[in-house]
Amino acid sequence: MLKKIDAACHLGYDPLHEVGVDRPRLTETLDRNEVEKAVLLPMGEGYIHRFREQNRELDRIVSKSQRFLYFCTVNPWFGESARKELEESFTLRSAAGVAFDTARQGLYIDSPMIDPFIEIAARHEKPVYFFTGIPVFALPLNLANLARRFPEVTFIMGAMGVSDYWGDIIPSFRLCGNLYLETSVNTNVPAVLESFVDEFGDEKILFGTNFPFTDYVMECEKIEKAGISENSMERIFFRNSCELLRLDP
Amino acid sequence: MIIDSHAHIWQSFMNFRCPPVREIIGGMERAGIGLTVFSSLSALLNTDPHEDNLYLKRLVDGHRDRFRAMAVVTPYAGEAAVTELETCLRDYEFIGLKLHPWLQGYYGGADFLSPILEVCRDYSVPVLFHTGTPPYAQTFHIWVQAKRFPKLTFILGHMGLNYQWRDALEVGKICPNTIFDTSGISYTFAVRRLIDELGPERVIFGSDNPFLIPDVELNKVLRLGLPKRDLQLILGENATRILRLS
Repeated sequence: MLKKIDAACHLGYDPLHEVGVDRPRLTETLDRNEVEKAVLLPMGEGYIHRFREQNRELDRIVSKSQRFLYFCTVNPWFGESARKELEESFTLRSAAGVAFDTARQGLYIDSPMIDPFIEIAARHEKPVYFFTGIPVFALPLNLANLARRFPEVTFIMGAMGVSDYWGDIIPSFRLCGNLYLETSVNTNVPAVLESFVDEFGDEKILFGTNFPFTDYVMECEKIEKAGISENSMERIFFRNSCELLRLDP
Repeated sequence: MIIDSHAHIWQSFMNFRCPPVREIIGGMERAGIGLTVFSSLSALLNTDPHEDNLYLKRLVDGHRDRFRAMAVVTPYAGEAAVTELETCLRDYEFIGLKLHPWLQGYYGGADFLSPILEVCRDYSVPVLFHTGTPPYAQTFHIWVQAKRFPKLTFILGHMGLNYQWRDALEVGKICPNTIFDTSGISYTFAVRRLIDELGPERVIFGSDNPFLIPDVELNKVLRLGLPKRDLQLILGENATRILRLS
């Protein structure tokens, strides 16, 4: 089995979908699927009004375990206090990046409200993750437009435009060179992955699961059976995340 | 026998390659799928889908042990759509109608679908709708149609996908003439919840082959932790009943 880094999973409970996972089950799932490290993203209310508490909870977990990294979040509607929180997440705490779920947070990916937060991420050279695939607030081409405005920032297209926005992935990457594709949730892999690798290479794809919303085995299988080379799979499952997140392989 | 109720085949569709038949059969064999129900993807985009339906008929005729077909018509074609649908159901022995509102460009709840839905009702065949892609293919569009045609069976392809699974559950509770296929949705907790709340009799296996990978889609269902009897229903017996397969 290839070594893996999960670039997008969760810990906790999401009242919106009534789904959750605790630490023992997450660890057991990662063990079973031979995942060396996992990036914890915010969960549920952590994206909305509990972002300060959640950022601290995730920071505590990461400080006690080499296995996890985390992306913090802030809700842009909270203005100055959210900007301060993001700044501190990078200076006082150890967030590896920042994640937004704009469909939950109630703004467009490329809204000017986002800009001050991207500027902070740019100053700290941190990647920015957006969950994509929900009209109208979380669409791949709006991420491309934001990425166009901030060419110095690395953006991650989370959930690869699930479900039927997979058709906007390749056009988005043609417009912007500062995007990564994260593989979770979307099942339209045969329609995308092989042609994506043909056109852009295999260095801009990150394996992710969005577990516990998805089935972990399925998220792995869909990459393993996508018709791409072993070397590309090794990059997608492991090496690309190592390079982006500056981890020792 | 495992029955895949949702798959596609096409002659030309944008820049997508359709696997040759031997490759499709190989994929079915690897997954252990005995019978696959196809509709034509290219027919969804052609003003006149007759040649696409005929192509599919010939394909099915050559593989009756493995393949069945659903018709595709262009609702905007009016009377011509009715004629083509009747040809498919009466002469070609197709077993249902596939509608794909977002690819075909209309609202799934539109009144102008009535003439073709009436044909399906009269022939007692189900209608498979793509669901879960707003604005054209909203899951609640099936609520609208299922209320208007209470004697017609509606299959909600993809059970509303990841972000309208709750709508699918609501439609299932409100409209007993609705069935849900498992293809495409990766939120497995939602698949399990629909099965638990609506009953395993209301859910059928679909793979969306070749857009999705059949054995990955099948494993998704096998890993839901369902009792053996529920799996038997979902993987084959329900489709046999709903699609009237002999």
